[in-house]
Amino acid sequence: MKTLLVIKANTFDWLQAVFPDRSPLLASVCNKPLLEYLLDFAILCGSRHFRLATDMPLAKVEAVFGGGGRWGIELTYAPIRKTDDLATALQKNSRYCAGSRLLVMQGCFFLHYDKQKNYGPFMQTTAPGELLTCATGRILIHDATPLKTAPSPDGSPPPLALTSLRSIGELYRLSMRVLGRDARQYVLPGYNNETDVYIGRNVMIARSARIEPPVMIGDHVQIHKNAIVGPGAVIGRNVIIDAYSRIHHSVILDKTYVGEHLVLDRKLAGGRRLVDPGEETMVQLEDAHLLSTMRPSSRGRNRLQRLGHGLLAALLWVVLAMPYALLSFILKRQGRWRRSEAAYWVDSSGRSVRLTRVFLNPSGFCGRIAASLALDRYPLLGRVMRGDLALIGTRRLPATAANRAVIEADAGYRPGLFSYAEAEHWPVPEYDQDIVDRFHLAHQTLIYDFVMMVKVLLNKLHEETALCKSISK
Amino acid sequence: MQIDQQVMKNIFVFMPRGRLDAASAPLLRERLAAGDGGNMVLDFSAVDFMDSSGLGALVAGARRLRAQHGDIKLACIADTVRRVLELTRADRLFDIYDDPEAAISSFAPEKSV
Repeated sequence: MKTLLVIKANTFDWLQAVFPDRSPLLASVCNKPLLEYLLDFAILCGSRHFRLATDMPLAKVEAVFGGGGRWGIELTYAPIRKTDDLATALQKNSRYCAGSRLLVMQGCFFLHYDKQKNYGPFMQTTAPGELLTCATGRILIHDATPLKTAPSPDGSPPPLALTSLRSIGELYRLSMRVLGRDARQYVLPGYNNETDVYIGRNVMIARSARIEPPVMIGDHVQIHKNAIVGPGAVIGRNVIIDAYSRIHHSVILDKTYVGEHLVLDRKLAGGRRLVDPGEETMVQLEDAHLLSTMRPSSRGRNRLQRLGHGLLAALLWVVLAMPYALLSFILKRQGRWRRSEAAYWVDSSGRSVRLTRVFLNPSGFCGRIAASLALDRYPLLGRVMRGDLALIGTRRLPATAANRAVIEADAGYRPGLFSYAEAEHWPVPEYDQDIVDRFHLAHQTLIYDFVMMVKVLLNKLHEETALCKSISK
Repeated sequence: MQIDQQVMKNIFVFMPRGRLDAASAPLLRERLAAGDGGNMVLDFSAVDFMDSSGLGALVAGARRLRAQHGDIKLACIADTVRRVLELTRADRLFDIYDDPEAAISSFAPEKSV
């Protein structure tokens, strides 16, 4: 038996609206990704192969689930497009789907099952067609071959139900239900020496802190003095609960810092965002001492890169100072040099700065030399030296609300004086430029950036030389 | 790099073999340009590596064909190639199948060359 999970980004719109920086495919219930519950269920059904077909980015999911070896199942991934329906997804995976009974899961839902039961015989003897359905998804059996075995004689199918997931409130209530009532039905992460208490690895609990079941604490969690966690608390991974804080009937998502003396009752918190699951309202706290996001430290590497880019920018600033002063003066007099200012986003956190844009008319001798030396970018070298821009990076995005959503969803946004696409000579639409920018950003190092920078400058020189030749001909 | 070519059900099927990089991308670009507005399937089962040049050839080829009312569909991509497509979000531009036959069948009859 094989399993195919078809899940699309639009089924997680409700989660993305509240937590745009978190991977929807890793959304969890009681510190266990929804995907892992489905994987467990597929194994209980006797599946040896599981394929995830989605239009969402898979890198983070692959980092967690890999090839499925930890679960003893072969896990593969297949990209689909957001317009694909189930029939198209099946056609795109026709080789995988052929030759075996197929359990198809479609949509975003929570599947209630019981780990003590064996679902294999039930799945093998159930007629093809829709098995279960809810408002946001369904499970069906797809099989081209007729049933080989007769239906089970007792006729009592093992427990199985779907719960729709359409809001953050439903996710919260599900977490509370699994923690408080259904925990025994699933394999949940953490040590469970005491009833209703699950504790992960590398957890530090102060002697004066109190843990009141039911409670689930993820890996790498610190609970400081006099804090009270529970009853009904789900604490994610890499969380700090500071002194005197109280967490009751609440879910704290991964990588969250909960400040001192903070009382969270019937809330869902992740990073700086605090959600009231009953009212379905969200607030973002500005005071990082109350609630904030824990980020892995990459300061050393970033500083080194920034320093490298800054030094190269300083070198260019010195070398091009004289040509810039002379040619910009001449071109301004000729009316071929115009300056304007506009605000641009400079990092994924939503910081913007005003940058000078130069419009240079490359006709005429001086114009061509200025264009070949990329003097229109000269005023931005100061921003590179200050660390606001990289020397070479992704395309700069104007500070608009639409672009804010783009950069928040894209942690890799690092605007440059030049874009990688210019080094690759991609004079193509914006989306295509982003493709090549993303490719290089994923591979970049300081030396790599230096090489790409040289390529950009050579391209500029070559473009102008080619233009001169064509004009002289 | 070698690119095998055949026509199945009036669809061009190209099967590049080896690495799709700066050295081999021009050849792919040239083959895709020869498609002249028809439909194509690229069977990637023998491609184990693709860099930005290969990606460029693929994207440029797809843009050109679509402008001429044709299309390119990919089949049998390896995980390494899938990761490049996903990383750059170029996967949003292509229909990707795990079987070349299914990719060929997916073209509507009126869209064939």
